Amino acid sequence: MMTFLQAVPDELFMVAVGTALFLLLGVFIALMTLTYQKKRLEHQEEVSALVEAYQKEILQAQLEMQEDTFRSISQEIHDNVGQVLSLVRLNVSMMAHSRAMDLEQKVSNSKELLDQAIQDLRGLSRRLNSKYVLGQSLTALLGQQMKLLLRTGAVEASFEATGEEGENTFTSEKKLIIFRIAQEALSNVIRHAAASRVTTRLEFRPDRMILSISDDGKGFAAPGPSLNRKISHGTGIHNMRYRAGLVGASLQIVSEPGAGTQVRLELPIT
Amino acid sequence: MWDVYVYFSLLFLSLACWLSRFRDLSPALKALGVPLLATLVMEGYAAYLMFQMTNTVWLYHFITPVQYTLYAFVFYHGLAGAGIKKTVLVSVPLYLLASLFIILQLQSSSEYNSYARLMKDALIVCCALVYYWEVFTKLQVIRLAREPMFWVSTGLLFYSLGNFFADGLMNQLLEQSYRLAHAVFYINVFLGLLLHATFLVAFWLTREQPAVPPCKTVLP
Repeated sequence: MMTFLQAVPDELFMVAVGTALFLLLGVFIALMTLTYQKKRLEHQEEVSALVEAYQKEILQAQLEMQEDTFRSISQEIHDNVGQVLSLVRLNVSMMAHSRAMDLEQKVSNSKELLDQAIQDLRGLSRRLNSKYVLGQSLTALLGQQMKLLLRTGAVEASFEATGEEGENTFTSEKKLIIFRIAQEALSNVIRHAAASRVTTRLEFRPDRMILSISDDGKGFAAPGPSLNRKISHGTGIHNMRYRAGLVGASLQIVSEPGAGTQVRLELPIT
Repeated sequence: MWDVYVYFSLLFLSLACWLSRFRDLSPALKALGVPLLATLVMEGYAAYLMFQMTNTVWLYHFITPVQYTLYAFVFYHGLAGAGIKKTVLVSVPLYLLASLFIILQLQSSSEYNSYARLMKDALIVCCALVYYWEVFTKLQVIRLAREPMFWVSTGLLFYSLGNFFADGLMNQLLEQSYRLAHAVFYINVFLGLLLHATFLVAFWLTREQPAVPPCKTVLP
């Protein structure tokens, strides 16, 4: 080896080594540029996929909310407006056979019932307007949701909100996603928990928002992130977690058999 | 001798590819065909003279400035920054003047034109690095391995960096031994093959534009 190196003239050696070094430098620069650009491309694709998923979820949440609204309106028309108008009709049909004093009472009753029906219809009309819904604060939306729940008579529902002024930092899309998570959790209480009481707390702290929905129902085993697939799919927990992740929130579910369930959503306020 | 045939085959193939895809090529790649054509003609003549056992060193005093001028135009079209483009354009007359000065004052036509070649190598390396710089700083994200101009710049970067020592020390090597100089010359041959291979890839990567489908009129 030494003999071979000694036989190679210095100039040739210098040219060979210099050329090799320069070429290595060129290869390094080219590879670095390629890698950098590849990483940028991957990052851009990731961001695009995330944006696309977010938009899709927003759309899905809007559709679900509309569907929910239609369902509750249909129920309200049937249970409230329909009942009230039936009463009015009954009053009117009985007027022909009533005495003068009773007639006055029936007219007055019918007027009151019609006023109530008009008020209910106005409320329903407002709820059909999606802009109105999106324009509402999260506190107001959750309050209405809890009122509806209470009116079903299925559970005793209560709602507490503190520090609502912190809500102004939320975009309407973020609000919509949080509201859908809350709706999903409440729907789980009605369908699976067999609870007699459900409490919703919304708390705005300077650095975070905390939404907690707890019930006194039958609860379930295997809580936390390792929930089995059956529970996860059947109750839409996977969907809730995914949506929470999209808005940068963390979702925690604490439950034990016979001890109720608490769903806790924490969203940092930036 | 085999190296001459392989080199010219690759050069010819690159030109054929350039010609066949000319319609779809970017302005920079369209411009790249001109130095290839000039190289084919001039180095073809040099090879002919070499086969006639005639010294061809004088010819490269003309080939080198012409090649730099034409490659500079490729970068002029391939680079994005307006200031950079202007600088590349200004470098052409400056380089031609410097080459003229070198041939008149420093290295006569009977000597190997190492200074002019070194300058050409350095300038082309700068152009290629500026291209990389633009890739780093540009907002647009591209799939670089499919970008023809990346291959052109990389080929020219390797060729110019690799030839730097061989070109710079050739006169000294020729003074010592022709055999030694001939051995080093193979670096140039190898890098020339690599250069034309990258050009070939660049032309190959240019996709054919889909033909515009004929308009259909649908009657109601």
